[in-house]
Amino acid sequence: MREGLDQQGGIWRFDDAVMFFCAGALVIAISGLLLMLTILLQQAKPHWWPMPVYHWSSESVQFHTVLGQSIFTDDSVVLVDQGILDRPDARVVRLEKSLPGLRRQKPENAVLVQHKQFGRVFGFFEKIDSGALEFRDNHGELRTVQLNDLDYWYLANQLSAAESWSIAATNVIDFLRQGYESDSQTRGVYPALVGTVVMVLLMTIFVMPLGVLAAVYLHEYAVDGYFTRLIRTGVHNLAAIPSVIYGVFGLGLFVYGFGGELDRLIYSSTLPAPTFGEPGLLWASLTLALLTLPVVIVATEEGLARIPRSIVEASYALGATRAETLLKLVLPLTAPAMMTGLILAIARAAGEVAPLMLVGVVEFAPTLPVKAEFPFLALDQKFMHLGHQIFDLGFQSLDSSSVQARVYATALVLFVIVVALNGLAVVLRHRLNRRYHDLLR
Amino acid sequence: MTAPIIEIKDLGLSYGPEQSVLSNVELSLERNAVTAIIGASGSGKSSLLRCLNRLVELTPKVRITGDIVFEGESIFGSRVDPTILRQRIGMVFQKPNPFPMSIFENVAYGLRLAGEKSPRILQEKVEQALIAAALWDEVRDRLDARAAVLSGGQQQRLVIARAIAVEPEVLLLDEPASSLDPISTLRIEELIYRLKQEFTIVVVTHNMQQAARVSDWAAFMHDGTIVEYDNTTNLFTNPREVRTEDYITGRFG
Repeated sequence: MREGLDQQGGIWRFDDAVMFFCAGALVIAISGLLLMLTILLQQAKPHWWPMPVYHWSSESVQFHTVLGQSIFTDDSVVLVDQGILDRPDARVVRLEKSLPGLRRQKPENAVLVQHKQFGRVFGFFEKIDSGALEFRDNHGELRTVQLNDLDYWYLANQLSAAESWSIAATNVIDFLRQGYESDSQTRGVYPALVGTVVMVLLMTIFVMPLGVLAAVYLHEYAVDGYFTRLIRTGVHNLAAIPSVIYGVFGLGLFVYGFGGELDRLIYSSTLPAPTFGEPGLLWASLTLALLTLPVVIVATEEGLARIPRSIVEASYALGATRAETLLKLVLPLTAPAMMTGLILAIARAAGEVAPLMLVGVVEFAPTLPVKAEFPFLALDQKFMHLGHQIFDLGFQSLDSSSVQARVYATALVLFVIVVALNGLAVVLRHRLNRRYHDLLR
Repeated sequence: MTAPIIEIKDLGLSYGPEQSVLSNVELSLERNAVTAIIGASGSGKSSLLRCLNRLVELTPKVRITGDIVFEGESIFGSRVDPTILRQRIGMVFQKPNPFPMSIFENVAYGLRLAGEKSPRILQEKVEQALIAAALWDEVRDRLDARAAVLSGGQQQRLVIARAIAVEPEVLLLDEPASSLDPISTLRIEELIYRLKQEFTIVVVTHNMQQAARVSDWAAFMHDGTIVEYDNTTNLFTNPREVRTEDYITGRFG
């Protein structure tokens, strides 16, 4: 018997189930991303937002009171940054939450002083008088500091929203701009930012010509046969090799191989102290260029493959040689694809840490990798890098919990850079598609 | 009757060892005439056309036997530069394929390749080519517009202008109107009729009315070889071969 046109089965059909699972996967992916961003922002907040200053007291006999900002909290302990003038060594205090009758208050007159020499100092505001600030420290002692010696000061518990935002903005800018201050607590990421950017730019200079030319040969000249396919598969698979292997390779080939040879040939006067025979900016950029080469080759080849055969034939039919067709027609049309490949490469390179630790990154470099005089780049020097800063602060620091906010703030900077670069790639890809629309009509 | 401009002598073509496309093709093309090549899909019309400007050599594993003589010279000679040959034998493809550039740059492309640098001469020659291709009046105010904004018929006339801008002697048209509407097709046909004053035209088509309308000579191809070649009137009204008659009366193909 033939049934009507009515829907078969219940309300939930297989079609709906498929859609449900796809949507679910998307929701999970997006919420994961948002969660990460939230955690980064929240954990980094103490590093740039003016947090309240607390006064802790307890009924315990041995315990004195503490004035300061909490920098780390978990179930059992609170770490408090209690900046005291003249005593930068006694900075962090550990408070057990189990102390009898532990209380915290927000004193209205608490003042935060950013001293040029001693860093962050807390106290109770007394008065401001002829270019000097007077405040009592936690032990009741009266202190006077010249305003000239201060970066800034504010009453931490009496800030309006506008003041808080302005302080936060200053902190963010300082975090991005500073880097060589004496106080490691407030030290910014500027050298690491510069190191990352310079290294990535150098890498770009190495990887682009090489990748584009290789892709052009693979796509335009190589005869499509077993060998070409083997090479193409090989190139694609290079992208999947763990990056630390590139690091080891770079160390062996560039640092010890090329670098050692260069030292022997050109810098033999300074041996045994190595010039290029040790990890440095040049070798790090070359290693990353090698690492990102497959990305550029694949993207460029994809771009080349998308150019319709018909317009290439039209060019030949007008009497163009292969090189003329390539230079006048094919490569300009592939440029957006190359740009996309480049930006993907940059995004990948900016986040790479493992290989760099082998070939040139250090936790502290005394100078920037850029110089004012020729050749403007310290190619043989080691440099700082955002990704490595995160790793170093988070895992190598003796008291990692006290720098937690800093770790997250650095991570946020790196995250923003990589997301911005990827966003650029998306925009370029969009433009690329629009241009190809003309071709495919 | 003057000497033919192109003589095809026992031409054979294969893509790889198993795929023979053309065999024993013999054809002489008359100067300043329109020769139509008709035949079913897959009979090798387009491949034959692509042999004439050696564009077929871009396909991998291609093998050519026999010879094509253009103005008394073999085009497969060891000293022949195919790019110069292609400047003298222009080609228009089945689907309009303008470059993703401005209208002006499309037409100037071949001229620039030929080494023309003077902006004044470029301007002049682009204008002449567009006039000759009956497109000038429609695009004179927007030469800098992208070619993609033109309609299909306009695009096809644009690529004809692009081909004739370099002043070839022979123009190969590979089903130039097959992707166009009837009115655009008519304009292309009128254009072909006028262009034969200056060029020798070879047009591939599977539209027999079109072949009958535009051509002076017609060749019927089947299975990679020329079955019959005669002046158009004879071929369509009084074919010698049964296969030709079957095809033009629509009994196969």
